[in-house]
Parts: sequence; structure tokens; C-alpha cells
Amino acid sequence: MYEKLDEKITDGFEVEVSLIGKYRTYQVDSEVITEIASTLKNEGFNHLSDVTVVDYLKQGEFEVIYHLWSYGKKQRVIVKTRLSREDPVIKTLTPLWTSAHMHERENHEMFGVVFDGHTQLTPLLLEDWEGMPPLKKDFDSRQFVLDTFYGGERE
Amino acid sequence: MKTQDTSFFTIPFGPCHPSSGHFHAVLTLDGEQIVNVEPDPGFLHRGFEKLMEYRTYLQNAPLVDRICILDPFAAELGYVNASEQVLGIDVPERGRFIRVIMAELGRILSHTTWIGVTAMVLGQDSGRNIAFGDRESIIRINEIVTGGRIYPCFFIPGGVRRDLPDEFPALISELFKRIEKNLEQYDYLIFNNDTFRLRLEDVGLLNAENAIDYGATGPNLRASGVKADVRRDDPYEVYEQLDFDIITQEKGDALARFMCRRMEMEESMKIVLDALDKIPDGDFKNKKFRPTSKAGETETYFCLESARGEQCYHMVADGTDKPYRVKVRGPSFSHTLVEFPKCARNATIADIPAIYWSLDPCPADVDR
Repeated sequence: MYEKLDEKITDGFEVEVSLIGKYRTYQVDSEVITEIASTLKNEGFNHLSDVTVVDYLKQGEFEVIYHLWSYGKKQRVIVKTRLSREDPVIKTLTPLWTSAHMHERENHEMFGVVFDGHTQLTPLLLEDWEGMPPLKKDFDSRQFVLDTFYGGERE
Repeated sequence: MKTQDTSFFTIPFGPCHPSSGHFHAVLTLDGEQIVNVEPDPGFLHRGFEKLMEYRTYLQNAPLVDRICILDPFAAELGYVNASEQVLGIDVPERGRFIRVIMAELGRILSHTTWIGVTAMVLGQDSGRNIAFGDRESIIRINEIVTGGRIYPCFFIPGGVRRDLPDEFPALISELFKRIEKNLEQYDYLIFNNDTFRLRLEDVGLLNAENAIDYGATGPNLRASGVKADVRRDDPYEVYEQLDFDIITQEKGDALARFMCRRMEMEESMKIVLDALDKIPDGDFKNKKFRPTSKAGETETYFCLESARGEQCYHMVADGTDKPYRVKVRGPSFSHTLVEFPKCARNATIADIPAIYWSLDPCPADVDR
């Protein structure tokens, strides 16, 4: 059911094809994310369901995950790409999907991933937050609670 | 001489407005007309995604209830399905049927609350009273079945916490008799009421193409004429065996979205009755699951149709008894932050409650 799509995507791009749950997953290079995304959109994947970031601290990498759904084909596709933790920059997908705007804004706030070309990477959910993006794995929740609510120490 | 531009002015909508929930938006107005809407969410941000990384798979099950207060069963259903996939645990058929029955009751619960709040913000207090009465009767059944009124904490990885009580079918038929009677009342007071329809017709128009582009799902998308429902398109649990229709409307205005939800309540009742007919005997949970059960090093993605639309969980497991990362995709995120500003632009300020509540947003689901 995914064969034709696999051919289109692997043609010209370096892509690792796998499955997450029952859904087709393409691991791609972050440089070509716009090309891959627009190819998929032309193939009918018109709904950008979600943008997710996973912090792999040990490997020193962020993984950006895009979830796409096609209303015509009734298929789901997951696109994954890796970024270095030191300089996490990736092209924005807002020209392709309006809904990408808020998802990317949230991920910028929670992980510090920079979406190049995004017009409004301003804080969304957090209030007056100046510290490290809180969903990163090296953010210490326990220490944050101690500092914020107990003056730094607690028996 | 520099003069102040007085042609535009801004007013806040929420976060303590009776019709906003805990959601804040800054409206820029030109007289009565809305020029721009700038959403500012975050008043209910509790950091669930971070908290879930510190808790075991079982401890997270009560936590996800709180993601959307009005629709807790859907949030639980998605979470337990995703964790079953990473834990490698099967669910007995009876457990799956019980889950579907409760999830559909949850959908009716969410929609009755929505009717109540909508009637209230549009100035129809009798509608509010009847709808909250209906909500109370569903909550009582929740209490009998699960022990919890608002937060059931009922689904666990491997099944459900306890079996349905013997009197459950009788309770359901009594409840549905009441709701069916009250649906006529709602039609009279709200859905067929000319005063209401005038406030809703041609307000907050959204065509199919834009709805998809803005990330709309669920009733908001189906009201624009797209026949899409995760329960049918990408079936989970036992929906393949159950008989129901997907409700669509053509016009894509506030009234279409209202009618979509109203008719969905009847479909949900159909599903519950059908599932009660087909429910098999046997175990209701898989006893293999232990509070200390460890997952494999894997990841999974699970999607379901909640009362508001597509609710998804992306879960990464690292081989311990706690998830490494859980991402929750709530349907209200796009509805409130993308669609609401787009629909409200160029409307008048009096249309704001109608547009906002036709999208049925849940601020708790936006912020998580």
C-alpha cells in the first residue's frame, strides 16, 4: 500500500524507510525537509497533524517529527529528521501548512529548536520564562521546584 | 503634531470571561468590526508532557484525565493504547468493548456540556439548565461504573479497572430515554429557534480547503463537508464491528458545526447500544500488566477521534518503566490558536461567542 509512495520519496533523496506502529516512517536529512514535505503534500498528504521534538541527550541530537495524514488516501505518514543539539536549525513548513505556525512556535519554546523563516518565534504557553527550554532532557525539574518554591533546599 | 491613532483599539477576550474558558486573546477592533485576533494561551499550562517522563506507565493513566477536563475518557483511551503498544500487552475483547462504550458516553458528556455552555453564552439560560441536568445524569453513571465523577481514571494498560455493573444496560436505557426527550427540547430552544439560527447562519465561515490547511479535525472539519473520522478511516479498538454514520454538513458556518455536534450525539447513542448488544463475556483486563512493567526500546504513534477531533499520542520508550517522551496532540490546539483567529477576522464583536463556541475549544487541551 505504501510501495508507490516509497518509490517517489526514495527517488533522489537519501531516505531510511521504516514503520512506527502501523504507519510508514521516513528518516530524512534535515537539509531537504522542505522538498520532502512538498513532495508529500503534492501526493495528497494535506493535513499536518502534529510537529514533535524528541531530545536524545546521549546522542547529542534533537529529532523533529512531522505527522501527516491524507484525507484522500486515508493514510498516515511520519517524517523524521535529526538536528544537532548545539545548533538546532531547520526550515519552517509554514508556507506549506498554516497549522505549522503554532506547532513550530510551541516546539521553539519547549526545546529551543529554531525554525528558519518562521515569522513569529515568540513565547506561547510559558509566562515570563527566561531559563532553559523546559522540555529539554537536561532541564532538572526537581532543582527548578526546589529553587522556585523552597528557596533552594529542602530536607 | 503627533496625534494618537484612535481608529483601532484593542480589548482583551478572557482569561476570566464567562464565555472564554481560561483562554486569552487580544482583539483589535475597528468600531464593531474585528480586525485582528492575537491568541495568548498558557493559563492552564501544567506541563503534562514533562510530568509524564517522571511517572510510571500506570501513574500516568490518572494524569492524562486532566488534559481535557470535559472529555477525559478519550485522553485515557489514547494514552493506554499507546502504552500497550510499547509495553507489548494485549487487551481482552471485553475490555475493548467496555472502553468504547465509556468513550462514547464521554463524547455525549462533552457534547451536552458544550450545548449548555453555548446556550448560556448566547443568552438561553433554560437550555443551559437542561443540558447540565443531562450532564449530571451521565456523571452519575460514571460514578457507578468507575468510582470517579469527573475524572474516571478507569482505563489502564491491559484493559479497564473493573467490569461493568449488572444494572448497566438498565441505567443506559434510562439515560438515553432522558437524553432523547431533552434533544427535542434542545431543538425547540436552540437548534430550530429562529433567534438562535440568525445569530449562527453565515457566521465564521470555513471552507473545506481552509479547514484542512488550518488543521481542523472532528466536527469542525465535517461541518465543512469533509467526510473524515478516525473511527472509520483508521479504525482502533472495536469500531470496525460497530454500526454508525459519519455526520457531515455542507456549509461550514457556525450553524453547520452546531448541527454536526447535535446529530453526533444520536450516533454515539447508537454506538453504545450496538456495543452493548455485541459485547462478549470474558476477562476485562490482562493481568500480565504490573505497575512495574517495563517497556521495550521502541516508539509508537496512536490516533483516535475524541469529542473535538483527532487526538494523538507519540510515545518514545527507552526500556525503563517510565516513558522517555510523550507528545500529546490535542484537537483544540489548532482549533483555538489557528482557526478561531482566522474565523473571527472581519466578524463583529457580537459574533465572538458564537464563533468561539461553534469551534468547541477546550483551553485545558490547548495548554496541556
